Amino acid sequence: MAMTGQKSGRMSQLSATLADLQTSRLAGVLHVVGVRMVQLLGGLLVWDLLVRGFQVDPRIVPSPLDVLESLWNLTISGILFDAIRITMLQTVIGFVIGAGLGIVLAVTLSEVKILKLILQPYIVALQAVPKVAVAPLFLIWFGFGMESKIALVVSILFFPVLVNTMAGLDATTEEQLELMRAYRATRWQTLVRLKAYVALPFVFAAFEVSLVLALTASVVAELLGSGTLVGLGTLIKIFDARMNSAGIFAVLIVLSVLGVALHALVIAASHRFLAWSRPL
Amino acid sequence: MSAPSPASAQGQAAKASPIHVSAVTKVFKTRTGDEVLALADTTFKIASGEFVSIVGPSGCGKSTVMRIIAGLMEASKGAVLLGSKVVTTPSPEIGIAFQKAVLLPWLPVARNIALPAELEGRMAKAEIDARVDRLLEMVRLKGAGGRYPGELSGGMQQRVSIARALMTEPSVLLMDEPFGALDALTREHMHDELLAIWAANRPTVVFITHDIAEAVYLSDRVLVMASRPGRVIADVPIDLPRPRTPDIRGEARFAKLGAEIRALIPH
Ligand SMILES: Nc1ncnc2c1ncn2[C@@H]1O[C@H](COP(=O)(O)OP(=O)(O)OP(=O)(O)O)[C@@H](O)[C@H]1O
Ligand SMILES: [Mg+2]
Repeated sequence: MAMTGQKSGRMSQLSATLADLQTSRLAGVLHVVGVRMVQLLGGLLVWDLLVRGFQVDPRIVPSPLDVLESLWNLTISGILFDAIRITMLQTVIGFVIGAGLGIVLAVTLSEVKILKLILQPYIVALQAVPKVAVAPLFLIWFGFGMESKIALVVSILFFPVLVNTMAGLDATTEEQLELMRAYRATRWQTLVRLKAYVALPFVFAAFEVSLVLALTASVVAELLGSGTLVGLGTLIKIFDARMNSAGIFAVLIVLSVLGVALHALVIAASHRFLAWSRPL
Repeated sequence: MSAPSPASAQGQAAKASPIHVSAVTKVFKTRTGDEVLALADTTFKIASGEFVSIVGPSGCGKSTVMRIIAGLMEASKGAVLLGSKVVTTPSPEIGIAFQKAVLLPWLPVARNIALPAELEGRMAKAEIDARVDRLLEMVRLKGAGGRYPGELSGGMQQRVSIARALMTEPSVLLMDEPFGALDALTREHMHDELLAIWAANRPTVVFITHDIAEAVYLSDRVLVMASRPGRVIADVPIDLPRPRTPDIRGEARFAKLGAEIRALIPH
């Protein structure tokens, strides 16, 4: 009797600790959310006070309320979501093509050293070209539709991914290569079972810097020339023509949120795929 | 040829390849352009199914000779025969445990052990799993199959690499200081496990070590190497009866052989 009493006592103690843990985690999340809300509202308040206090021309810096109103109108009219869809589509398609090409070429060059020797100088030269300066050419080649925007995104992404992946594929140690040779791995096995994994952290590092750049490229391409599709960059141009600063600010806020989201996505993916490489 | 060892006298089929290192010289070029004579005209034979240890001071060329036997490195002069074939590339007969564990950090322990079989692609999945389980048990890592190398201690990693070397049941086993990072008790356990495997499969074993007692306990013969230039300077037959059991470590003959070898190692 005493035994069972003791046991159940311990059990309830355990579940109490678990409950404590859960409430404390929830409290932690609420705490963070609360702090962020205060920071956000504080920032908006300071912004509002500055604009009012100095009587800033709303065409130069709009008040936060004007920006929120603009954001609201863009949202309910559906314009914003169409624009997000178009710009994100350009970014994602460009990312997939650019990263894909970069990785494929990196593997080819690292496996066929003679090709690497031949192409290296061209790669270095092309890499040095400011890609945005090529955008007008892309407009001539691919027209004013999505293709020219995707081309700019691809050109921005391609080189960091290529260069990093090549460095990654060469980052194997002599001992690892010796292990694969001792167990008579074929060239293909060495590539997919060793080099690919060694290169993975390098590839993700390239993604981390270039995905947000890809979004920028997508928007810049629209600013430089756009057709009938209205993406976020085109939206900025339209508001600009109307001297509607509140609208521009609204789009900038959306872009900043998208940038942060893309970055978070890469980080989450790298945590998922590189769990083994994190020191414990 | 050396005297037939007890197990082959019992009439077991001896199909493991003998090793013949014939007048092997190895010269390394350093970055500064100097030449290092790592091995000079080194010759020795290891019979089929024989267990031979190599001892010698650090830098005397033990790992180098093992790499040349494994077909991972070319001799500057001379040749190695595995069975009747001249070694030029790594042979499927060989299982090898390197001085460093060299585990692939993205693979869980079980997949690291299975690697040689997966690369070879001949064993069925179920057979691989069963064998990995047995090897995990043998190296006392039962239950650690799902862990990643980064979560293991140095000694645990080394045991994984030993299990990996045994994965394909190689008929020639090359081991470079495989138990260097193990504590004394685990090391003695591993000695008996290794001897059990050796007795069962009778592979030809080249076992490199700094531990003289370990060499005496395990081997049929102990080769002593000297450095500058690297070469074999003595060949000591270990005439202790088999199967060897831990109590043999207390015997006078065991101590005498150890002392004899110690006296031969230059320092
Ligand atoms: N890749 C290499 N390039 C140049 N010199 C080397 C290379 N590998 C080994 N050496 C030299 O060859 C000699 C023998 O090296 P080896 O690794 O075979 O020694 P070892 O007997 O295994 O030593 P240890 O007991 O410390 O492991 C050393 O002098 C070493 O510096
Ligand atoms: Mg060595």
